[in-house]
Amino acid sequence: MSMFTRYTPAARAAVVRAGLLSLAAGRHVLDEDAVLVALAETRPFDRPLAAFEVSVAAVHAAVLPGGAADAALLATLGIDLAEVRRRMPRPVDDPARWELRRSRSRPLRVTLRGPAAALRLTARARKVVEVARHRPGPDGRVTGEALLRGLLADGSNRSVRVLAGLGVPLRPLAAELDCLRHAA
Amino acid sequence: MLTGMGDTASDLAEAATGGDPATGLAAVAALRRLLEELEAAHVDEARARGWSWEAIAAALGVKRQTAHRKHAHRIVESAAGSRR
Repeated sequence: MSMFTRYTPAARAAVVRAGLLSLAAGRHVLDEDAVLVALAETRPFDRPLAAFEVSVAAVHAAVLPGGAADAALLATLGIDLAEVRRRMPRPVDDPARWELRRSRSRPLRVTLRGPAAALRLTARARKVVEVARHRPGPDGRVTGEALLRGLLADGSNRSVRVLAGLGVPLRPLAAELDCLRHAA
Repeated sequence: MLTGMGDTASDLAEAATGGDPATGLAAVAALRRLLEELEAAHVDEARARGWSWEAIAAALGVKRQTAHRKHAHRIVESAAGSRR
Protein backbone atom coordinates (compact mmCIF):
# COMPACT_ATOMS: atom_id res chain seq x y z
CA MET A 1 0.00 0.00 0.00
CA SER A 2 1.36 3.36 -0.99
CA MET A 3 2.26 5.69 1.84
CA PHE A 4 0.93 8.48 -0.38
CA THR A 5 -2.65 7.50 0.40
CA ARG A 6 -2.43 9.66 3.52
CA TYR A 7 -0.78 12.60 1.77
CA THR A 8 -2.48 15.74 0.59
CA PRO A 9 -2.10 16.16 -3.19
CA ALA A 10 0.27 19.08 -2.62
CA ALA A 11 2.47 17.13 -0.20
CA ARG A 12 2.57 14.19 -2.58
CA ALA A 13 3.56 16.50 -5.44
CA ALA A 14 6.34 17.95 -3.28
CA VAL A 15 7.84 14.52 -2.55
CA VAL A 16 7.63 13.60 -6.23
CA ARG A 17 9.29 16.88 -7.10
CA ALA A 18 12.08 16.05 -4.63
CA GLY A 19 12.57 12.75 -6.45
CA LEU A 20 12.70 14.44 -9.84
CA LEU A 21 15.18 17.00 -8.58
CA SER A 22 17.34 14.19 -7.24
CA LEU A 23 17.24 12.34 -10.56
CA ALA A 24 18.06 15.50 -12.48
CA ALA A 25 21.08 15.98 -10.26
CA GLY A 26 22.24 12.45 -11.00
CA ARG A 27 21.46 11.11 -7.53
CA HIS A 28 20.38 7.52 -7.01
CA VAL A 29 18.70 8.05 -3.63
CA LEU A 30 16.26 10.54 -2.18
CA ASP A 31 17.84 12.54 0.61
CA GLU A 32 16.20 14.96 3.00
CA ASP A 33 17.84 18.04 1.49
CA ALA A 34 16.07 17.43 -1.82
CA VAL A 35 12.78 17.48 0.11
CA LEU A 36 13.72 20.92 1.39
CA VAL A 37 14.27 22.20 -2.15
CA ALA A 38 10.94 20.75 -3.24
CA LEU A 39 9.13 22.33 -0.29
CA ALA A 40 10.68 25.70 -1.07
CA GLU A 41 9.71 25.35 -4.73
CA THR A 42 6.19 24.05 -4.41
CA ARG A 43 5.18 25.45 -1.00
CA PRO A 44 2.58 22.73 -0.41
CA PHE A 45 1.27 24.35 2.73
CA ASP A 46 -2.28 24.78 3.87
CA ARG A 47 -1.58 28.40 4.74
CA PRO A 48 1.33 30.81 4.32
CA LEU A 49 4.30 30.16 6.57
CA ALA A 50 5.72 33.56 7.39
CA ALA A 51 8.92 32.18 8.86
CA PHE A 52 9.61 30.02 5.81
CA GLU A 53 10.30 32.91 3.49
CA VAL A 54 13.31 31.73 1.58
CA SER A 55 14.66 32.20 -1.91
CA VAL A 56 14.06 29.09 -4.00
CA ALA A 57 17.16 29.82 -6.05
CA ALA A 58 19.27 30.14 -2.91
CA VAL A 59 18.02 26.84 -1.48
CA HIS A 60 18.52 25.16 -4.82
CA ALA A 61 22.04 26.50 -5.14
CA ALA A 62 22.93 25.45 -1.60
CA VAL A 63 21.58 21.91 -1.90
CA LEU A 64 21.71 20.93 -5.55
CA PRO A 65 24.24 23.21 -7.20
CA GLY A 66 24.17 20.97 -10.26
CA GLY A 67 20.42 20.61 -10.17
CA ALA A 68 20.16 20.76 -13.91
CA ALA A 69 23.14 18.45 -14.33
CA ASP A 70 21.41 15.99 -16.62
CA ALA A 71 20.03 18.77 -18.78
CA ALA A 72 23.48 20.34 -19.05
CA LEU A 73 25.18 17.02 -19.79
CA LEU A 74 22.65 16.11 -22.45
CA ALA A 75 23.05 19.54 -23.99
CA THR A 76 26.69 18.64 -24.66
CA LEU A 77 25.30 15.88 -26.89
CA GLY A 78 22.93 18.27 -28.60
CA ILE A 79 19.88 16.97 -26.74
CA ASP A 80 17.31 19.32 -25.25
CA LEU A 81 16.03 17.43 -22.21
CA ALA A 82 13.06 19.72 -21.69
CA GLU A 83 12.01 19.29 -25.30
CA VAL A 84 12.31 15.49 -25.10
CA ARG A 85 10.16 15.48 -21.97
CA ARG A 86 7.61 17.71 -23.63
CA ARG A 87 7.23 15.12 -26.38
CA MET A 88 6.74 12.18 -24.03
CA PRO A 89 3.26 10.65 -24.19
CA ARG A 90 2.77 10.95 -20.45
CA PRO A 91 4.32 13.51 -18.17
CA VAL A 92 6.93 11.98 -15.91
CA ASP A 93 6.18 14.56 -13.26
CA ASP A 94 2.56 13.51 -12.82
CA PRO A 95 2.39 12.70 -9.08
CA ALA A 96 -0.26 10.05 -9.77
CA ARG A 97 2.42 8.01 -11.52
CA TRP A 98 4.61 7.88 -8.42
CA GLU A 99 4.28 5.76 -5.31
CA LEU A 100 5.97 5.82 -1.94
CA ARG A 101 6.23 2.31 -0.58
CA ARG A 102 7.74 0.49 2.35
CA SER A 103 9.30 -2.86 1.62
CA ARG A 104 7.37 -5.74 3.19
CA SER A 105 10.48 -7.77 3.78
CA ARG A 106 12.64 -4.82 4.82
CA PRO A 107 10.48 -2.39 6.81
CA LEU A 108 13.28 0.15 7.05
CA ARG A 109 13.46 0.43 3.28
CA VAL A 110 11.17 3.04 1.77
CA THR A 111 11.27 3.68 -1.95
CA LEU A 112 9.85 6.40 -4.15
CA ARG A 113 9.00 4.66 -7.39
CA GLY A 114 7.93 6.35 -10.58
CA PRO A 115 8.25 6.02 -14.32
CA ALA A 116 11.57 4.34 -15.01
CA ALA A 117 13.00 5.31 -11.66
CA ALA A 118 13.12 4.00 -8.13
CA LEU A 119 14.77 6.11 -5.47
CA ARG A 120 15.46 4.59 -2.10
CA LEU A 121 15.03 7.06 0.73
CA THR A 122 18.12 7.66 2.84
CA ALA A 123 17.77 7.13 6.58
CA ARG A 124 17.37 10.88 7.03
CA ALA A 125 14.72 11.20 4.35
CA ARG A 126 12.90 8.20 5.79
CA LYS A 127 12.91 9.90 9.17
CA VAL A 128 11.29 12.95 7.58
CA VAL A 129 8.37 10.93 6.21
CA GLU A 130 8.06 8.97 9.46
CA VAL A 131 7.86 12.13 11.55
CA ALA A 132 5.39 13.61 9.06
CA ARG A 133 3.27 10.48 9.32
CA HIS A 134 3.25 10.51 13.11
CA ARG A 135 2.59 14.26 13.31
CA PRO A 136 0.20 14.81 10.42
CA GLY A 137 -2.02 17.77 9.67
CA PRO A 138 -5.40 18.58 11.20
CA ASP A 139 -7.37 15.88 9.43
CA GLY A 140 -4.74 13.20 9.86
CA ARG A 141 -3.29 13.75 6.41
CA VAL A 142 0.39 14.36 5.71
CA THR A 143 0.70 17.98 4.68
CA GLY A 144 3.56 20.18 3.56
CA GLU A 145 3.76 21.51 7.10
CA ALA A 146 4.15 17.94 8.40
CA LEU A 147 7.01 17.31 5.98
CA LEU A 148 8.71 20.52 7.07
CA ARG A 149 8.30 19.46 10.70
CA GLY A 150 9.97 16.21 9.71
CA LEU A 151 12.92 18.10 8.28
CA LEU A 152 13.31 20.23 11.39
CA ALA A 153 12.91 17.29 13.75
CA ASP A 154 16.56 16.32 13.40
CA GLY A 155 18.92 19.22 14.03
CA SER A 156 21.74 17.38 12.32
CA ASN A 157 19.89 17.41 8.99
CA ARG A 158 21.60 19.30 6.22
CA SER A 159 18.30 21.10 5.61
CA VAL A 160 18.49 22.70 9.04
CA ARG A 161 22.00 23.97 8.36
CA VAL A 162 20.98 25.28 4.95
CA LEU A 163 17.98 27.11 6.35
CA ALA A 164 20.04 28.57 9.19
CA GLY A 165 22.70 29.65 6.69
CA LEU A 166 20.08 31.41 4.61
CA GLY A 167 18.86 33.33 7.61
CA VAL A 168 15.59 31.49 8.19
CA PRO A 169 14.55 31.95 11.83
CA LEU A 170 14.33 28.33 12.91
CA ARG A 171 12.73 28.76 16.32
CA PRO A 172 9.90 30.98 15.06
CA LEU A 173 9.45 28.57 12.16
CA ALA A 174 9.20 25.59 14.51
CA ALA A 175 6.82 27.54 16.73
CA GLU A 176 4.70 28.46 13.74
CA LEU A 177 4.48 24.86 12.65
CA ASP A 178 3.50 23.70 16.13
CA CYS A 179 0.94 26.48 16.37
CA LEU A 180 -0.58 25.42 13.09
CA ARG A 181 -1.00 21.92 14.40
CA HIS A 182 -2.48 22.84 17.76
CA ALA A 183 -4.75 25.50 16.29
CA ALA A 184 -6.62 22.88 14.31
CA MET B 1 38.13 17.38 -15.93
CA LEU B 2 34.64 17.37 -14.52
CA THR B 3 35.00 18.59 -10.99
CA GLY B 4 31.46 18.16 -9.76
CA MET B 5 27.82 18.50 -10.60
CA GLY B 6 28.00 22.19 -9.88
CA ASP B 7 29.65 22.92 -13.21
CA THR B 8 27.71 25.23 -15.42
CA ALA B 9 26.31 24.16 -18.75
CA SER B 10 28.89 26.23 -20.58
CA ASP B 11 31.71 24.63 -18.57
CA LEU B 12 30.35 21.22 -19.48
CA ALA B 13 29.96 22.11 -23.13
CA GLU B 14 33.54 23.34 -23.21
CA ALA B 15 34.74 20.16 -21.50
CA ALA B 16 32.77 18.01 -23.91
CA THR B 17 34.16 19.70 -26.99
CA GLY B 18 37.59 19.38 -25.44
CA GLY B 19 37.11 15.63 -25.40
CA ASP B 20 37.15 15.32 -21.62
CA PRO B 21 36.31 11.65 -20.92
CA ALA B 22 34.74 12.43 -17.53
CA THR B 23 32.22 14.76 -19.11
CA GLY B 24 31.61 12.40 -22.00
CA LEU B 25 30.97 9.46 -19.69
CA ALA B 26 28.72 11.52 -17.42
CA ALA B 27 26.76 12.56 -20.51
CA VAL B 28 26.40 8.91 -21.50
CA ALA B 29 25.05 8.11 -18.03
CA ALA B 30 22.56 10.98 -18.33
CA LEU B 31 21.54 9.73 -21.75
CA ARG B 32 21.00 6.25 -20.33
CA ARG B 33 18.71 7.67 -17.62
CA LEU B 34 16.75 9.60 -20.23
CA LEU B 35 16.48 6.52 -22.41
CA GLU B 36 15.02 4.50 -19.53
CA GLU B 37 12.54 7.27 -18.78
CA LEU B 38 11.55 7.51 -22.43
CA GLU B 39 11.13 3.76 -22.82
CA ALA B 40 8.98 3.54 -19.70
CA ALA B 41 6.77 6.39 -20.86
CA HIS B 42 6.14 4.78 -24.24
CA VAL B 43 5.63 1.29 -22.83
CA ASP B 44 3.07 2.67 -20.37
CA GLU B 45 1.30 4.42 -23.20
CA ALA B 46 1.32 1.31 -25.37
CA ARG B 47 -0.13 -0.83 -22.57
CA ALA B 48 -2.79 1.80 -21.89
CA ARG B 49 -3.77 1.53 -25.55
CA GLY B 50 -4.07 -2.23 -25.29
CA TRP B 51 -0.84 -3.33 -26.90
CA SER B 52 0.29 -6.84 -26.05
CA TRP B 53 3.69 -7.52 -24.50
CA GLU B 54 4.60 -9.34 -27.70
CA ALA B 55 3.91 -6.23 -29.80
CA ILE B 56 5.80 -3.97 -27.41
CA ALA B 57 8.77 -6.32 -27.33
CA ALA B 58 8.82 -6.53 -31.12
CA ALA B 59 8.80 -2.75 -31.43
CA LEU B 60 11.63 -2.46 -28.93
CA GLY B 61 13.57 -5.24 -30.59
CA VAL B 62 13.75 -7.39 -27.48
CA LYS B 63 12.21 -10.65 -26.30
CA ARG B 64 8.71 -10.60 -24.83
CA GLN B 65 10.06 -11.91 -21.54
CA THR B 66 12.63 -9.10 -21.37
CA ALA B 67 10.05 -6.36 -21.90
CA HIS B 68 7.60 -7.94 -19.46
CA ARG B 69 10.21 -8.46 -16.75
CA LYS B 70 11.40 -4.89 -17.04
CA HIS B 71 8.08 -3.07 -17.10
CA ALA B 72 5.18 -5.22 -15.93
CA HIS B 73 5.75 -4.74 -12.20
CA ARG B 74 5.62 -0.96 -12.55
CA ILE B 75 2.42 -1.01 -14.57
CA VAL B 76 0.73 -3.48 -12.21
CA GLU B 77 1.70 -1.40 -9.17
CA SER B 78 0.58 1.79 -10.86
CA ALA B 79 -2.78 0.28 -11.75
CA ALA B 80 -3.23 -1.05 -8.21
CA GLY B 81 -2.37 2.37 -6.79
CA SER B 82 -4.84 4.19 -9.01
CA ARG B 83 -7.65 1.84 -7.93
CA ARG B 84 -7.17 2.74 -4.29
